[in-house]
Parts: sequence; structure tokens; C-alpha cells
Amino acid sequence: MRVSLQHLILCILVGLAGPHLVYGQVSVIANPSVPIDSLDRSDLLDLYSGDKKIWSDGQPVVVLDLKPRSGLKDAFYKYLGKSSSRMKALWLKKKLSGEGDPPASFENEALLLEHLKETPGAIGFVGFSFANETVKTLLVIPPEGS
Amino acid sequence: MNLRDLKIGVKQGIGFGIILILMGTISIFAVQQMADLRDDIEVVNQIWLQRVIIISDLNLNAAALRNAQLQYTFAPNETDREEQVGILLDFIDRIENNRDAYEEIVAEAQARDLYSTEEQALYRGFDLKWEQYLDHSLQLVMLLEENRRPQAISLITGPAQLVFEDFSTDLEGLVELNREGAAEAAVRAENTFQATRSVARLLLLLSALASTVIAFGLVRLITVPVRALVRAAGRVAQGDLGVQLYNQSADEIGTLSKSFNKMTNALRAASQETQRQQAVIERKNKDLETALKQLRTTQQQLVVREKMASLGQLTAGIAHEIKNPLNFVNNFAALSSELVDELQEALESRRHLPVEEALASVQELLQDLRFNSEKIEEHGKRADSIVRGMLEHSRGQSGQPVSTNLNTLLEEYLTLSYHGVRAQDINFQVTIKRDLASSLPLITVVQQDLSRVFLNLFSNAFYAVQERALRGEPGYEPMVSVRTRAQGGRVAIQVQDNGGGIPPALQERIFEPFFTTKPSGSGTGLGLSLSYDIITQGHGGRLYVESTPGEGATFFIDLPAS
Repeated sequence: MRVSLQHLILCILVGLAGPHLVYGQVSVIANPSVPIDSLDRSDLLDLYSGDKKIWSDGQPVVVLDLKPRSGLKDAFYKYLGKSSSRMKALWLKKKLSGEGDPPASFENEALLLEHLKETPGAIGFVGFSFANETVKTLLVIPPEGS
Repeated sequence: MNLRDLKIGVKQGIGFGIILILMGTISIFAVQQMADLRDDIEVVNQIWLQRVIIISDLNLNAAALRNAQLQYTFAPNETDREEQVGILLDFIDRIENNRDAYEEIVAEAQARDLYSTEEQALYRGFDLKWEQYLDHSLQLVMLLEENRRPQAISLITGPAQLVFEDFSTDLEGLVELNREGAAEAAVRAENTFQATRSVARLLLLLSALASTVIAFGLVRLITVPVRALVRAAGRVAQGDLGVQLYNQSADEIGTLSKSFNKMTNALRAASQETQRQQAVIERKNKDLETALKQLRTTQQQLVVREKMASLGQLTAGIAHEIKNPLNFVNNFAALSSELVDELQEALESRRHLPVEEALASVQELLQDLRFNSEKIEEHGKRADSIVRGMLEHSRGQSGQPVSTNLNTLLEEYLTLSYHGVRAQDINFQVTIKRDLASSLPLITVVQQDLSRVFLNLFSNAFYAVQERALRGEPGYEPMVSVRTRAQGGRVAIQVQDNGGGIPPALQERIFEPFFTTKPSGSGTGLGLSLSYDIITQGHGGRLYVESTPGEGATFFIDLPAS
């Protein structure tokens, strides 16, 4: 129910704002099996830092990342508060210490989306236009300046 | 209001105020410039040099990381590899810290518009390549986990090496940029400093000049008029009363100048007045001198008159005195004439008388004749001495002090005086008492002077009793007495009369010159004054009076015995 309402509101907003707002918005999406419907920035940071590895229902957390540098990627990591290179250093430390692997990275949003749909417990980010009902949209990051 | 008319204090205040403002302005300017300079230096240090340090450090840390990675890759066993992990983690942390520090400074620099787009591009470039290197590093770990060492080695020595070199270049570029920035900022700071110094020096010079001029002006404001005042006062002190000061301002100096002018004007007026009065006084002095000369002449004339008067008094007395001896001389001469006739008769008688009888009567007659001649000689000499004495008295010369019997002198001049008075008034009756000490010592006196004194005292006494007699008191008997005593080395003389006496108020004044109670024309008033001088100054004695009005007066003379 909640997803629908959020989706509805967003659609209305998008509808009102027009195509201008669609560009730059980042959607944080997850496999429908994920036991949450939304999250905030610190939750997101914990997931991407590798600090939270298990969902509340025991499923392992699978974090997905985009490989090439883009405005979308920059926007996402800017929202997180750590640039992607900073995150990567963090992941390297974790890897060296044996605390876990870094997220899998994909060449483009379509590939990421495909993998996400097939992997339970997966979480990732795409441009707003890529998000649809086949996935859970946990959070929409507004563009800079809004 | 005219600037000149402000009070001196106000003028000084303004002058100093201007100086203070100048100094203050310079100080404020200098301080401000110092602050700017400090900011510039701070920029150099904090913004640029810090970045240089951080980036250099980052570069070193990256190199060290790479070195550790190589060690990690080529580690012979698990244990060694584990060892390197710690080092790797450490260096990754360090690099992250460097990045944090750098990004913090960059944020501040951006706020101050001191972060160039060039540097931003460089850093972004570094960021990208660093991320690539991190990707390689991750892959390295995974390859070694899977025991695929050759691939790991080829990765670390191949693509990873290239990326490393790449981003190292970027870092060096960053360092260079910041060093340049630092150098530029330092140059700017130096320029600012130089400019500030020059301007400050100039301002200091200008304000020093201005201050000097103002201070000089202020001093002159006071010293010039004060000097004028001092000069003017000096001239006034030297007697030039025409000095005027021309300062017309309304400040204290002006007021002082006006007062000074008033003062000199007043002095001039006073001086002129003084001169005028002096002329008047001089005229009066001349008049007084003339009057004084006349008085002196008159006084001398009066003294002469007094002497003449006393001489006049003498004359009658002397005339009478001479009459006595001359009578004797006449009588004895007449007798002698008769005796000569008798002698002739005696000689004729020898015809009818025995010779011895005739001779005896001739001798007797001759003896009588001798006696008469001696008497004539005696009285003639007496008359001669009287005349001589009178002549000496009239000449008025003081004469020489001679040893004298005062009794004799007193007696002589008492008689003379008495006869003198009687010559003027034949009916004048007076009883004269004498009480002259027989043992009176001879004293050395100027006889002419003393005789004048005695004459004066006696004539005064006779005048006094005569006056009282003329009043017609019933039963009044005029009396004048003279007394002498010798007392302990001194001789005392008293002349007493029972005339009208002298009131106490006048007893002091009778010895004053020209003082007389006689009607004008009757006396010069100099008699007692001269007597007083003769006794006190001429002979070192005393002359004083005691008198009871209505009963008489006593004059006392007191002389030292030698």
C-alpha cells in the first residue's frame, strides 16, 4: 500500500513538474524481496559501506554499483556524503581486512537493473526513468539545488 | 569669529588636535595595512603552503602504499602477506586523511575565491585515476586470494603502475600549482608591504613636517608677541614711555597688549604730571631759598642788633661808671690845684716863718699832692679799663679764655646793668642783694662772652621787677639778688628776681631764638638764646630757669670749675 502511495505522489509531482525534473533524479531501488520499503541516507551509507551485511529477515545484503563515472553516479555518492573514490578506499580496507567484498559494478543502468531483479536482497541505484513496478523504489534523491 | 581672536589655549588645542589627528590617521592606516599584510601572509601560509605540504605528503604516502603493495604481492608466504596488510591499511588511512585535510582547505579557499579551475581540474583528474588505482588494488587482493599470483604481479607492474605514475604526475602538478600560488601570494604580500612602507614613510614625513610647522606656528603664536612685550617693557624701563603694542586680537596676548598700552599711557601722563609738579616745586624751592637767605640776613642783623642793644645797655652804665672815676679825677685835680696854691703860699711864708716850719708845711703839702696824683692815676686807670672793656665788648670778638674771678665780673656787670636801667628810668628803685662765695675758685672763661650773659640776665631781672612795679601792686618791693657757690668742681651762679615770674608753658620757650614776651620793638628775643649758647656750647655748662608765676624767677648757671 505504502509503495503505491509514494509512487502515486511521485508521479503526481513528476507530472506537475514536467520532464525538466526527471533529469538528475536518482532512484535507489531494491529487489522486491528486500524487507524494507524506504530508507534514509544513513541507512544507505551503512549498506554501501558494508557495515550492514544482513537484512532483517536474514537475507544477505547485495550492494550494486555502476562502474563508469557519470553525473548519476556522482549525484548518488554526493548524496551519500562520500565520493565514489572514497567509498572505494573504504571497500579496499574492508577487503584487505577480510571483512567483505566490494559491491559488484555494472557497465550501465540496464545491466544493473537486470541483475537487481534477479538477485534477492539486492540494492542499487539508477536514473529515475529506469525505475518501474518490477522493483522497489526505496528512495528518490532529488537533484542538486532543489 | 576671527581665527586670531580665539583664546591661546583654544588655538593650541586646535593645533595639537590637528597633529593628533594626523598621527592618529597614520596609525590607523598603518595598523590597517598591517592587518592586510597579515591576511596576505596568512593566505600564503594557510591556503597555499598547507596545500603544498598536504599534497606532498599524499604523494609520499601513495608511493609508500605502492611499495607496500609490491611487498604484499611478492610476499613469500601468508605470514609476510599478513604483515603487509597492516602497513597497507595504515597508508590508505593516511591518504584518506590527506584528502580530508586537502578538501577542507579547498572549501575555505573556494570561499575566498582562491581555488583555481586549473587546480580543480587537476584534483578531479587525480580523483578519477586514484579510483582506478583503487579498482586495481581491489582486483589485486582478489587475485591473490584466488592464488593467481602471476596475474597479480602483471597487474601491479602493468596497468596499476601506469595509473600510479599518472596520478603521481597530477599530484606533482598540484604541488607545483600551489607552490606557484604561494610564491605569487608571497610576492603580492611583499608588494603590499613595500607599498605600505613607502606610503607610511611618506605619511610619516608629511605629518612630521605638518606637526613641526604647526608646533612652530603655535610657539611663535606665543613667543613673538611675548618678545614684543618684553622689548616694549624693556624700553619702558629705560624711560621711553611712548612705546605702544599693536596686537589687536581678542586672545590673551591681545588683552595683555591693550593693558600694557593703557599702562604706558598712564605712566606717561603720570610722568608729565610729575614733571609739572617738579617745576612747581623747583620754583617754590627757589622762593624758599630766597626767603631763607633773607631770614639769615635778618637773623644776622638781629644778632648784631642784640649786641648793639646790649652794648647800648652798657653805654649808659659805663657812662655812669666812668663818671665816678672822672669825678674823682676832677676832684683830686681840683684839690691838687688848691694844694699848689697852698704850696705857693707856703713858699711865700718862708719870708716871715722859720725855714723848717715852712719846709715842713711844703713837704706836707707835697705829700698831699702826691696822694692826690696817685688817686688821679688810680681813677684814671679805672676809667681807662672800663672804656677798654666796653671797646672789647663792642668789637664783639670772643677773645681768649682767661682765668677769671666770677664774683668780680658779676659785680662789675651788675653795677653796669643797674646804672643802665636807672639811666632810662631815674625813678627806678630796686633792692640788690649779693651773696658771693668768697672761696670761689678762678675759672677759665671768655670774659667778653660771660659778661654778655651776666648783662642779659641782670637786665631781664630788672625788666621783670620794673614791669611788676609798674602794675602798682600795693606793698611791692622790687628785689634782685645774685648768689655764687662752689660745688664739687663746679661753680653755681643764681640770679633771682621777684618779678611776675614765667608761666611753665613758656619756661621751655624763653631760650628759643626770637622768643620774647616784651612788646615788639622792645627786644630782639635773642638775649637768652645767645646766653644759652655761650654757657652750654662755649663753656660746657648749664643754663636753666625755675619760676613760680606771680612770685618771680631764678636763673641758674652751672659751670665746670676749669
